[in-house]
Amino acid sequence: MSALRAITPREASIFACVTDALVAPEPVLPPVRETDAVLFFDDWLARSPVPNRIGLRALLYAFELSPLLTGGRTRLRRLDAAGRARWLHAIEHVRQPQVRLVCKLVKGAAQLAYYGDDGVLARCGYDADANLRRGRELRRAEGRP
Amino acid sequence: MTERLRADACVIGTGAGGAPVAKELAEGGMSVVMLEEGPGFTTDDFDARPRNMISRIYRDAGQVTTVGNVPIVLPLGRGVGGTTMINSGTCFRTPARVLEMWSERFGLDELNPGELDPYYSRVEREIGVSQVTPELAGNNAAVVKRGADALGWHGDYLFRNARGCVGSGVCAFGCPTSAKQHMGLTYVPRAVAAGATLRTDTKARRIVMRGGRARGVEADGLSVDCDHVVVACGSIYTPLFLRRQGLGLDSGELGRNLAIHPATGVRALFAEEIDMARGVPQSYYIDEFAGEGIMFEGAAGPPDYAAMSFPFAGERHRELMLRYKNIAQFGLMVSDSSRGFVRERFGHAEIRYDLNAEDTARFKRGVELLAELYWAAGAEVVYTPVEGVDELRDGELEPLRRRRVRPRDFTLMAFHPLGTARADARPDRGVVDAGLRLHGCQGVYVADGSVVPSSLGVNPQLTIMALSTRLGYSLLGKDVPLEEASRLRPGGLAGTA
Repeated sequence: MSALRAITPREASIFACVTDALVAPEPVLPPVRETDAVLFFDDWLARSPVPNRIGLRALLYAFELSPLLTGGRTRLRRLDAAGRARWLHAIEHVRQPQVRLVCKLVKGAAQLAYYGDDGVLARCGYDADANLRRGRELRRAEGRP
Repeated sequence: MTERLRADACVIGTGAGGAPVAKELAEGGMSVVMLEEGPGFTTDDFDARPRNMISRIYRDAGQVTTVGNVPIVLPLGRGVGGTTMINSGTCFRTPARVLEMWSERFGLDELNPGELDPYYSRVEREIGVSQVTPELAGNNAAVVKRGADALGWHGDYLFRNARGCVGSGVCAFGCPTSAKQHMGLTYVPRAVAAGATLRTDTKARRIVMRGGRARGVEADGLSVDCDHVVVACGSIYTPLFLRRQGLGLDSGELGRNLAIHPATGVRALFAEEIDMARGVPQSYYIDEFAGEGIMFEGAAGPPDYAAMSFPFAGERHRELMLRYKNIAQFGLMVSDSSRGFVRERFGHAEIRYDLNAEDTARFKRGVELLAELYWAAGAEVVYTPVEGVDELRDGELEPLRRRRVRPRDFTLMAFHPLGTARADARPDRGVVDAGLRLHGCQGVYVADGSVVPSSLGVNPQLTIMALSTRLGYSLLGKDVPLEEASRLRPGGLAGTA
């Protein structure tokens, strides 16, 4: 994690955990740790406006502590898979619409980060390199810019 | 050290508004300086991966969002070509009924179909507008066409600015084949070839005014002495820039009247393979309900793009993603009557926009119609963007119809910010006149979506380019390009007569 630019290793770990809960990849898709989801998230935040970066980092800690705030006995990263699934269900159905909106934001970021990994894209049937190769060959053959 | 340039005109921004006027002025013999806040990307920079491209070529890494009763993501491009670099390339002329309304409400009599036709034709030739073929449209469009045909709804293949498209499926993330004829591939290089100077990564800071008229522009590391300044920073940033100059304030309309064409998408699971990553993502439209302010247009993309817009989380989301190749998606765009505003807060743009009850009802009806269409096309499951009614089965529509919806129940995006420096013939009602001249000020013009005074109900890039071209001709004192006989007319809408 030495290459991180915008988040700390702890925040990276929390994001990986949140992503794991939101995309539930295993057993059929690669686990989050085998993808570049966290590195993308870090790069994305590095390119984000400062207020957004601060807000999203703060949200990670809020997610990490949220099981404690809702009567649980431990923080998110200590929960097992079943516990995370229960946590996910709880935050998706929380009564406050603002909280649901925030969850939707983080959900979108995590799903984009995970499914943008080349290996995951391939498992879903999309070969970005092949698409790119076709474009480059066409440009070369036809003298396009 | 500040570099000093002398030019006839300085154009701030290289998107759909800035690039055409810069090119026309340069080819007409004026010396032109183009300032672009973002970098200049080449096609080699586009990697066919939406996730990476959103982070790199979208403004604020794709995080521009409205605040209000429902947050709406507003993707904007940042770089040479502006948002044309990341749009779907759809081309419509301004509908005639909209131009009539502009005449009645804003006194813009001179912006009529006859006057604008030569400019549209010229733009369409410059950017290679042509109609998508059924072969390129892909299965995502085919199933929608099948449903529309079964229901007797009018639709057609869209017109786009593309040459030699092979359906890479990633128009909105930088076309990897250079087929999409965005401003960075067309107008900007042609302006440079005609002698214009382009400065990238250069943010304009101040318009120099003396004696009530523009005398130049100060930018990062650069000062341009000129008599004409064209502001083309887009509907979000043009009003902020003008306000910082103390310009365009007289009517009180600067920054107000923001329309955005809010949009959403409906997905459906089919037994057959769709593979929405193949083919032109926005290739087909249905305008049967355009008269109600509802327009359906294609919206598709690779799995990472799809993942963030699909409903659910956890295992249900994963199961859906594993059937990605069987999922179709189509967009719904509302010609909004809601209006927002933009202002600067703590150095950043704040975009306020509340979806009103009328537009909320349009979304509900639009989602119902798209669900009906997907059932007619043979879908197995329909996934809606309405919270609480995520999934419909067995041809059902009742759960959707029964649902009382609020704006925040929808997942929305918007792609066409308009109106924040609106044109109006009367100085006390608008920011610019029909010729895009800033009211009460000499030598300053606005050429971007901010001058468009209302929702169009269709994609606005062609309108913006035509108005920008017309400004170029006006500044050069050239006659209307009547030699540009109308070749095609993308944009005749059903249900809007």
